[in-house]
Amino acid sequence: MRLAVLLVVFALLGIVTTCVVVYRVEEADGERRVKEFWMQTVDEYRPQPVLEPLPAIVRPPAISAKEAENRIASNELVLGVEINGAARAYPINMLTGPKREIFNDTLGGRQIAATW
Amino acid sequence: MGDEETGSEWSHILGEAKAGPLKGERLTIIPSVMTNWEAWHEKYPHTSVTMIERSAREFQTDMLRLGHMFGIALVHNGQARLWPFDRLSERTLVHDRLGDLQLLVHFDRDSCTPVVWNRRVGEKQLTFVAVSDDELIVDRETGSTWEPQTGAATGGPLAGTKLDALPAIVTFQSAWKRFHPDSTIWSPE
Repeated sequence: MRLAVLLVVFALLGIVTTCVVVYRVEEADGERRVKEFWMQTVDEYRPQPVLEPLPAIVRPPAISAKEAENRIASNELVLGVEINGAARAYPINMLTGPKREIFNDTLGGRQIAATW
Repeated sequence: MGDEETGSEWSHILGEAKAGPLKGERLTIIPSVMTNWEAWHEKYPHTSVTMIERSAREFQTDMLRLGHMFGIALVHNGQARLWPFDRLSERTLVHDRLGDLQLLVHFDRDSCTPVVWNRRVGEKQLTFVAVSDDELIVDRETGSTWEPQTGAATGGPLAGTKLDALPAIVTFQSAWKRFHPDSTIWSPE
């Protein structure tokens, strides 16, 4: 069982991103514990990749809210973004790792990456 | 994360390239909100939604059971601050300051929605109070009503105005402390 570290949307410098996993949380006896972190701090850079680089996910399909009616539960968490009047929800259950974590997308005329 | 164009390696949480040709470059964090589908769809009826096969099912509103692990955090002019979910739950409307920024931190437990707004509008610095059902908030200075989740004024003299969203992110408390060792951590007085 894995959980993600953070919820961020980045503006890209025209860059497509590929993912290496950052941390891992495991569930045991109904309790979750952080098992592994990508070890790095502001001053040190000592990454410990736990997966091979993955193919970039670029512009994953998006549908209208009406089309999504029976395909997403009301209580599912999303990462919501509005840019220049365009709004999009990224369901965290579709964005989370270990083989996801980053969606490269375009919204409201901007190149963005949604990461979890 | 890495980029295919240059092979540089980036830190998610800092948005900064740590190795490779783009080392030292920073991505811009765009304000976003974590909330549940029902609340997002209600506030943004014209929204689209990315739809691919699920890789998990655990991210539901009840993620708050992990409130002791998560928080919302912001960096402004090099100063970092973390508002832990388990402390915010004691008080949903928090007026706070980070450097020269006057902030409003709001946490809606029903939809698991933390937001951080700039509470300065033009020349005015606003102070908010919750009204009855906590769905709307009112500012003391003008009496306008506001939706805390969208930052939009829906009634009163400031109707049509929006609070400026700040690029706060939802993060593991432990990860935030590791990457921002000098971060302050909010606590109720």
